Amino acid sequence: MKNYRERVKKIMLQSEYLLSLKATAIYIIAVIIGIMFSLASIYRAISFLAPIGFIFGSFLVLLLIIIAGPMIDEINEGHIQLYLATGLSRLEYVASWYIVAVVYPVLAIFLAIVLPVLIIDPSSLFTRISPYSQRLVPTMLTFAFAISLQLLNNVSLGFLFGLVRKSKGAAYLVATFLAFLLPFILSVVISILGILTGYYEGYHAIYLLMLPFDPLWSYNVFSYGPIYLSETTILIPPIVTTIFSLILILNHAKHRLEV
Amino acid sequence: MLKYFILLFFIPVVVVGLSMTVIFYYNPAITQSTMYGTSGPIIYSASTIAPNGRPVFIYVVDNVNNLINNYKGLGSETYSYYLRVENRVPISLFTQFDKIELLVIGSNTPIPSYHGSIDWNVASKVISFIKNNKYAEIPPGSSVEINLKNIHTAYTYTAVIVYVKKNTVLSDLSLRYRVSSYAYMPVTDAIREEMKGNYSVATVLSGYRRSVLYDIFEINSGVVISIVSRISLSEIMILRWIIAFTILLVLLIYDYKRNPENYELINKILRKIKRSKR
Repeated sequence: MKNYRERVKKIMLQSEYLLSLKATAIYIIAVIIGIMFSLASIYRAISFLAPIGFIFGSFLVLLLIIIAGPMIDEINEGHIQLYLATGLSRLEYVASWYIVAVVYPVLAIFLAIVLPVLIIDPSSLFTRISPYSQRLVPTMLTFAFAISLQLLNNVSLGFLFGLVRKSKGAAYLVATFLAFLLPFILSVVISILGILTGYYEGYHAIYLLMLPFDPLWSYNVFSYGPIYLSETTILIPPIVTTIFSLILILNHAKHRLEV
Repeated sequence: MLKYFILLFFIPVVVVGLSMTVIFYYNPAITQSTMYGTSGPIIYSASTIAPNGRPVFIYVVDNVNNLINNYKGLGSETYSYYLRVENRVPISLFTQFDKIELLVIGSNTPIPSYHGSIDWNVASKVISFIKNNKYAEIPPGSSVEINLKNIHTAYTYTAVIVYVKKNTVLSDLSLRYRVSSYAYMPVTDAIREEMKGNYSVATVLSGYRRSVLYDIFEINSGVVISIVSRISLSEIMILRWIIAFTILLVLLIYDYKRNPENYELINKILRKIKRSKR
């Protein structure tokens, strides 16, 4: 128990140090999102802002993975030895980077969406962002959760691949692929198959491939049409993927990370 | 680390404060407006003769109830929805009328449908019912906004009372409707005939009655009904912000007292203030 507490303390201390270097960028993102959602909440323009949020969320994935980039540089260039020499373990080092590059920004973004709405009009948190839509439309709270989950998921996977390959390029590629390319490629493939066979709806199931990674896109695709999924079905797979990738990150940091 | 966790909450709260200031100074007057069909189903139209011999037409129109019900639940602490009724009836065109009264009325039970002529004793009771249950009276050339939160009755209607000049004949009654066979019949005579059960006159008068209301509502868009929504900073919202801001500020001050070296920016500002005081 004591060992566990010391470990948490070390991680927090290292995270604090890293945040002193990285926090400004995160706060700028939080301020921009906070302004957008507080004004949208006051002016009741959430339904207008939500589609922008879908695209904005994909760009945020890239921004966050860029924050994690210096960790891979430190591992490659050997700067990590300086930290390890202070008694920090590899696991603690990677975990503190994970907190700073993934958990802290995602929490900042979630609060930047939810807090303005909570102060301005708490009831809006539980109302659908497009009340008149026939589609499955998330509530403001679920939307904030979905956008945070997508960030957590995509950045975690980028972080994992970057760590395993010790390459920033791999991290950026995976994050870009999940946030932008996967939905785009799938829609192109489905369109081509649909045109060739004249049976578009038959290939809609291919979109299920992005279910474990992109809750925001899944909301968009599975809220109407041939495959209609409930909110739970849309949200559970990315949660599982995120937990799984976190376990892999920590496991790799503990047993396989060579410095 | 406490500082960074407080800042996570503090930044959105400060941003909300800024947004609220923007709203305070730049509050757009109307944020949503839904124009609505002017005249609607007439559920009550009656003609009568006042004791001074003037014909009077009384109307109750069911044209706002659905609109109100659609928007009633949508209001929030920041957003208020209002029923806006604008009286743009071109009075100068209606030389045959002494006065046109436009009212928004409420009732907990549906007003029964009736079309015909009635005795003044009954009509005066209908008029007093309308006046006693009014949410607003809209004089010509003005508009009224009723907050939907203040509408508590199950049914809401617009009511129109038209006081016709004494010696008006049927053909002068409407600007658009004409029936040649009873063109020069005084309106008072037509009302009396209808009360006696003269079916042909009743049919003609019924057409005129309907037409008078359409003239009032539709010529020059006489009555414009819309739903408007406005933003207002409620006290409870400001209170919520103050509570959140104060709690976080106290925590920040507590953390600053504990670890002043963690707050470079604040230290820099304090040093500058001290220097400028010297």
